[in-house]
This record gives sequence, C-alpha cells and structure tokens, in this order.
Amino acid sequence: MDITLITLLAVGLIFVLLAIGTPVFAALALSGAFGIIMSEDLSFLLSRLKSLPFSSAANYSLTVIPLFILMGAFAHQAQVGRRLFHVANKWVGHLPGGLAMAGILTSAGFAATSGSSVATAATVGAVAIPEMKRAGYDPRLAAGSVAAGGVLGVLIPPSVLLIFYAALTEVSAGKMLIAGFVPGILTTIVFMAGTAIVARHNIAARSPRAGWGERLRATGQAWQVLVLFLIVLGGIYLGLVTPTEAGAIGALAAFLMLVLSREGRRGLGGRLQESFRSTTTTTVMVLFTMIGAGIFSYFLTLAQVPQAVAEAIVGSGVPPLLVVGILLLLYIPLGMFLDAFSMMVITLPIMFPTVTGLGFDPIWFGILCVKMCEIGLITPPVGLNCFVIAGIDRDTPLSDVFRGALWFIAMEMVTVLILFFIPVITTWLPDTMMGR
Amino acid sequence: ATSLKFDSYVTETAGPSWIDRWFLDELEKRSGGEVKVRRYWAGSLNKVGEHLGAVRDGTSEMTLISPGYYQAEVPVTRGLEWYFRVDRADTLQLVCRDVYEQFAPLRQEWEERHRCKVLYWTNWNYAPLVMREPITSIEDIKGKKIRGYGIATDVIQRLGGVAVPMAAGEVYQALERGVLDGVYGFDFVTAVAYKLHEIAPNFYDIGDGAHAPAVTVMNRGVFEGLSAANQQICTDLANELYGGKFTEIYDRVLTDYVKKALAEGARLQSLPEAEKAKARALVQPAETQQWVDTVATPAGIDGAAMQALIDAAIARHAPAGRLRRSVEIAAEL
Amino acid sequence: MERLNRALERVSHGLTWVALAFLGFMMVAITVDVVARALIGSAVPGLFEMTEMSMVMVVFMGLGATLVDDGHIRVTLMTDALPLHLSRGLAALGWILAALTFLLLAWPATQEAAYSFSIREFRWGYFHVPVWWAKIATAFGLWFAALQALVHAAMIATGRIAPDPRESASH
Ligand code: NA
Ligand code: NA
Repeated sequence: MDITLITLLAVGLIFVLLAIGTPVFAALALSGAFGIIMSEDLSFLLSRLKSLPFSSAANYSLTVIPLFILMGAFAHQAQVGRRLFHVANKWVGHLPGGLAMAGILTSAGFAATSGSSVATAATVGAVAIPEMKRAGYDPRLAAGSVAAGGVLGVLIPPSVLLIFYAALTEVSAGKMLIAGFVPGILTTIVFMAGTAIVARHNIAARSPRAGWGERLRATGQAWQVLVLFLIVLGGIYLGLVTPTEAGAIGALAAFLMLVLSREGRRGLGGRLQESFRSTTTTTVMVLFTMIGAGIFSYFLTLAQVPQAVAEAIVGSGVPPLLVVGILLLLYIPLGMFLDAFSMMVITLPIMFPTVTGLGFDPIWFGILCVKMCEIGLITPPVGLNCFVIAGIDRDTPLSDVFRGALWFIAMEMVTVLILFFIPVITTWLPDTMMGR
Repeated sequence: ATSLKFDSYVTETAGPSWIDRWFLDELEKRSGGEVKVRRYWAGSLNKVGEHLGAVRDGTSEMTLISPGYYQAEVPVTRGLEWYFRVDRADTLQLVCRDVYEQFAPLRQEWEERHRCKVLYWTNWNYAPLVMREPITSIEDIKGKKIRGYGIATDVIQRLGGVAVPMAAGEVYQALERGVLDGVYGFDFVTAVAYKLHEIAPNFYDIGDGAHAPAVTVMNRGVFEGLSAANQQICTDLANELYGGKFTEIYDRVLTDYVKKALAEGARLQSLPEAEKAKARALVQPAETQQWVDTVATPAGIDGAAMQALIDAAIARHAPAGRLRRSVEIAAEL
Repeated sequence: MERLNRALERVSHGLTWVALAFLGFMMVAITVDVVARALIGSAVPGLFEMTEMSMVMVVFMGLGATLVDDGHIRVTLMTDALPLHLSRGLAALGWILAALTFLLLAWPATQEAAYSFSIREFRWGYFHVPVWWAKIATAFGLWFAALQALVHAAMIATGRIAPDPRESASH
C-alpha cells in the first residue's frame, strides 16, 4: 500500500478511536501500530516494542516530571494555591472578569514553582473554578481560563518542556529557562487583557476594590511561593543543583511546608497519600500518553512524513521568515493530536537545523516552538489541560472546556505574533544575563 | 533496489558520523543506486541503548555501536576499550580490526550472539579533559567534580577526581553554574559542538591516547541478502577506510573543529610528559586487569589471551600511527 | 467477575504502595545526593541509574492505580451523547482496545525481560547497577494492566460500572 495512504488511514484511525472513547494512549499506540504493520509487518512491530516501554520510562531527563508534579501536589495540599488565589484576587478581583484574571495570575505564580502545565492547570483549577462559579461566571470562561493559564507552567521557568528543547537541540538549558521568563510575563498580560475584553459584558459579581495596604499584607501571606521559587530557580541559577535535583529538593521543601502548615497537619496521612498517589497516576498518564505518541511518532519517523513535509516547505523557495512562520504553523495540526514532547522529537531534527541555518536565533525559535506546542495543550481533540480541567470540574462538559479555551487560543496567536516579529523580547534577558 | 535504514544514536556531525556518511554515500554511489540508505540521526528512530537490539532483530539494517552503552551485552568487545594504551586513533582502528580477525570469542559475540556483520571498526578520535579552571598537574584534578560516562568514570576516579554521571543535555548548564568543574569522555568534535569551551576553555591532552572504539555493523541476514557485488563494495570500502581514508577524513574534520574551537576561545594544551606518565601509571594496567578479573573471567573469556593479542597488534601498528591530536593540529596551524 | 475485579483492585493497591515508595525514594535520594556532594564532595555511586529505575517502577507499578482512579485520558464527547446501551458498548470496546495495547506491549516486554535476566543486564558507570529486575517489573505491570483493562471492559459491558465514571460521580 502507498505510504501516503497508510499515513492518512493511520491519522484517521486516531480520530475514530478517540471518538469512540478509547483511552488516548491506546488510540495513539494502535494507530501507530497499524501504520507500522502496514508499512513493515507484525513481527517488525513486536521487535520494535521489546524495549520501548522500559526505555521510555528509564530516562533521567524525564524524572523531573514526577518531581515537579509532586512539588505542586504538596503545595496544593498545603493550601498554597488557595492563598495565592486570595492574593491575586486582592489585586485584580475588582476588574471586569477579575476572578478569571486572578486565576491567570495564580497560574503565573504557580508556574514559577511547577514545571508542568498539567500540574499548574490542576492546582489552580481546583481553587479558582469553585470561586468563579460561586460568583456566577460563565463556566466556559472559568474552565477555559484555567486550562489556558496552565500553559504558563511550561513557559515560566522551571519547565520540563524548555529543558527538553535544550536537550534535543544542544542549546544551553540555562539560557532556555531564563528565556522563558519575559514571554511568560507577556503571555500573562495578553491573557489578562483578553479576559477583560471577553468578560466586558460579564454581569457576574466583582470583588470589592482592596486598598494598597491590604494588597501588600495579603501578598506576604503567599511567602511559600517565593520560597519555592527561590529554592528552584535560585538553586539552578547559582549552580548548586541541576533541574532534576531542583525538582527533588523543591518537592521535599513543599513536603516540609505541608507537614509544618496548620492546614496540612489535619489528616496529614491522607494528604500525603493523596499527593503521592495523584502524582503517580498523573505520571503514569503522561508517560503512557508519551509511549502511545512514541509508537505513533515512530511510524511517522519511519515513513519520513514530517521530513517530507518540512523539506517541502524548506525547499519551496519562500522567504526565510515565511519558512519559519510556516514551520511554526505546522505545529497547530500536529498539536491537535500529538503531545508536546513527541512533536518536538519528530520535528526538531528537521526544523532546528533549517531555522538556525537560515540564521535565526535558536533560543528565539525555541520559545516560539514551546509556545506553539503549548497551544496543542488546549486544542481539541487531544488537549491535556482541557482533559484535566474537565476531570476537576465535573459539571462542565469537555466540549465546553474546549470552547472556553478557544478564546485563549486566539490570545495565544496574538502573543506568538508579537514574539515572532519582535525577537528581542525573547533574547534580551538570556543574552544580557548569560552573554550571547 | 535494496532500501536500508541506517540508525545512529549520534548527530550527523558527531565524530564517527563523518566516517559513516562517507561509507553510506560511497555505498549508494558505487552500487549505482541499487542500494539506497535512509539515514536516521540522533536517535530519531530508536533511542540510545536500543540500537543493538534493533539491528539484531532487524528493525534497522545498519547502526553505529559504542560498546559502553551495552556493557552486559558485549563483554568481549569491552576488552578493546582502554585509555592510556593506544596513542593514536588510526592505530586503535587497526588494532580492533586485527583482534577481531584473531580472537574467536570477539567474532562470535557479533556474528552469532548479535547476528551482525561487522562492516568496519571506527572510534571516537580523542577525548580532551575539559576544565573550567587551568590545571598544570594530575594533582590538580583531586576532588574536582567531572562529568564522565562508562569507563571514563573509572579514569576520573583513578586520577583522584569525583565522577558525576549526568545526561548530556544538562552538561553545559552544569558547567556553567559550577555544578561541574570539568568534563571527560566527550570526544573533541562533540565537546566543541556542545560549546563546552564557552564555559570551560581549558582542553587538556592528559596522555590518554585514542578514545573509545566503536563499530559500524549490519544485520547479518540483510548482509547475506545483498548481491555478491554489493557485498564486495562493502568489503572494499572497509579496506579503504583501514588503508588511510579513516585518517584522511578525521584529520580534515579535526582540523576544522580545531580552527572553530580556537576562534571561539578554546585553549588546547598538553600536560607535561612527566604528568602524563603519572596518569598512565594510575590507570594502567590496573584498569585492564580489572576487566580480566571481573568481566572476562566470570564470562568464561580468556581475557589474558585477548589482551596479549591487543599488545601485539599495538606493537605492530603504533609506529605507523599518524592521526594528529587536536593539540598537535593547533601547534601546526 | 466482581470477585475478580475486587481481587485485582487489591493487587493494584499493593503495587501502588511499591510505586509510592520509589517516588519517595527519588525525592529523598536525589536530595541526599546533592547534600552529600556539597558536604563531602562525593556523589552517591549508582544513584543516577537507580533514579531511572525508580521512574520505571513508578510508571509500571502505578498502572493499576491509574486505571482505578480513572487517570487515563479519554474523550467522551461523542459517546456521552449516545443512548446508554450504545455508549456502554463503545466504552467497553475502548477498554478492550486499551487491553489490546497493553498486550501488544506486554508480550515483547516479556521477551526483553527474559533476555535481560539471562544476561543479568546492568547499567554502566563507576558502579554496576542491575536493571533486569526493573524489566521484569515492566513486563509484569503490563500483563496486570491488560488483565485489569479486560475485566474493566467486562464490568462496563455488563452494566456493573458506568461507562463514564463521571456519571456515577454525579449521581
Ligand atoms: Na513553570
Ligand atoms: Na491538542
């Protein structure tokens, strides 16, 4: 059978399997398996799968995932998220859509302690959604804002995805982490401005405006976030620890905060077990989605599909900046059904040399690449953040979560355009702090 | 036409990849397009540590294998992997070829156990000791945190350093922030490609000689399925590599990377001869003896016999060794 | 079948504790390593490799709990709109396909584990860390997950569990 036809059938199969409610990892794995069997044979597939489950998990660079999620889980159990939301509410709660903005600010703050988008969305969603619903917010705006806010988790350092990009392309991981900072702030600002526009006709209750003294006092209550921020980023920046080690130490610090906090001591055993267990199941879910995506992307790599597409774009003779633009746009269809890690593994071997070969800054492209991948976290049909929010807010159907996230996809495109046309926003901080 | 997948765990600009690319290009050209090779670099098809299983099971047809990644699977081949024993990388290549022909357990390991045809032996040229701060003696390595992998960790420990295992992607940042004082076990080309000299510009030749042998293999069933003419092309290409092509390609690549490294601020130096001798005495023959005692003997391999063959091969080829180290190239520029 | 399901849940509960122990180990051991490096200038030998093995144990011993806690993501957008008997049938099919995926992984993983054990495979480094035991655990975790997913499908097909756990939660 023709490889183009096999590819189309395999991609189609993903959508069919997802539509009938097959777990996502199985839909990806079986579609990939179908493609591999059609282009090679069953024994080829079975040989390939021998070491795949083990080697997918036995990967030191991925150990940051459970560690940062665990840190987030402890912080959540220690009510860090609730306090942070309380602080953010004092600052912006009186504005139109103020609670949604508070949720986004909370995400930005929590992102500074969590390396994972899913963990950020889950933690902030658990505190912000009930508050927004109580205030009479449109559930789509409530769910969409926290699902989208979660993407800040992989942009504002620490970030699993920024490090992953650095490892794949051999650019400096430290530079990538620092480069995420300013675009993270910009994303936050665009989200807040966009929320104000979306919510301008919002009739929901606003919080009373708080005085400056009250705002500052409230801010002091969120000291734990500052401590975790200092431990993680300070540790990495001062050269005391590697990112994985920062994750372990941050998790242990959050664990101590939980054990020592007044809220945490009540039912401590249950809280600990819950933190460990939810971290385990989230890690399994992420890893299995990666294994499924790994099988599917193995098929795509074997068939050399992304190469063919990327090479076609590169060889088309269009101007360099347009080439980069088209390559980035490619992430939207890919992001509909592939996870960010797989997308990077598949595409970067072709895209990265192309983009750097055209003379563009690898850090600038890296941040844009991460931004495009994070959009995939909130686009249907496979959007990890939206799944998590639908899991937390069981009254809002998944379709409404995706609908709410659409507004934020539009805002993300605005941010990407700004970053695309003004590279200095991305490159200024890393170049200033770490040299070119 | 035959379509083959060449599956490499390293990037296409890594040291041995220059040798592999020449071989693949020539194979395609000389077979008149009858053999086509799809190339998968940097673990894009199979991941690090999966390549041996893949070529054995036939999910890839050709691959580059560094024995360090498969310690339990290639115990005999590990008997070829030594620092402070073979001065020049082209000598090491010929030593590996000869011992492969002479020592039956080594051939069995590849031909029977892993069902592979050895296309040619290759290696990772030279591994500089990359340090943030300058050093003048082996004594200066004491207590320094140095990233190493595989047998390189053993060398670091024997020289008095603290071996820190670390994923390759974290190395630059760890150097930058001072988690590491140095790096050992990256070949010169890779060290420059990773831009380690931006943080740690002091590259030392510590007298360790050639770095890490590797071997490019083809699945045996696939090789036997090639036409006699194409098999002959593979044999001819291997002989050309052994006959000087290897040295020629590597000398050109190393020269390019030396120029690049010097332009970007690297300082290529050599420790004094007395210090090199001191380092050699700390590492050899203890390291080789440890392999004989802890790996070869338990696996029922006559380790002493293999090492004797290696010694004889070194004596045979060392006088003609000519592939220059980076520090020598820099001096002659 | 309900007895079998309960037995599987008990086993998965036991496996979860193994996963939690390795997760805790990762957090504590890596911290200890950093402290050791700072205080006595020496890394803990073999820890790097043990961290990778811990990750394997967290993932494959935590598989059971992930199914019990409904941790695997599914899209129920379309099936929710269907009549109950149809959505039940499709959900059961979905879990049979999940079981098929686990089987597709479990069989080769078992071959790999057998090979790994036969050569007593270890990871390189200054210190030899055996890895064959984690490969055996990988295969075991996958077989267990396959069985668990099949029983889960049967429980849904026969109406003992709601096709979408969210519905049972909202009742
Ligand atoms: Na973050
Ligand atoms: Na998506």
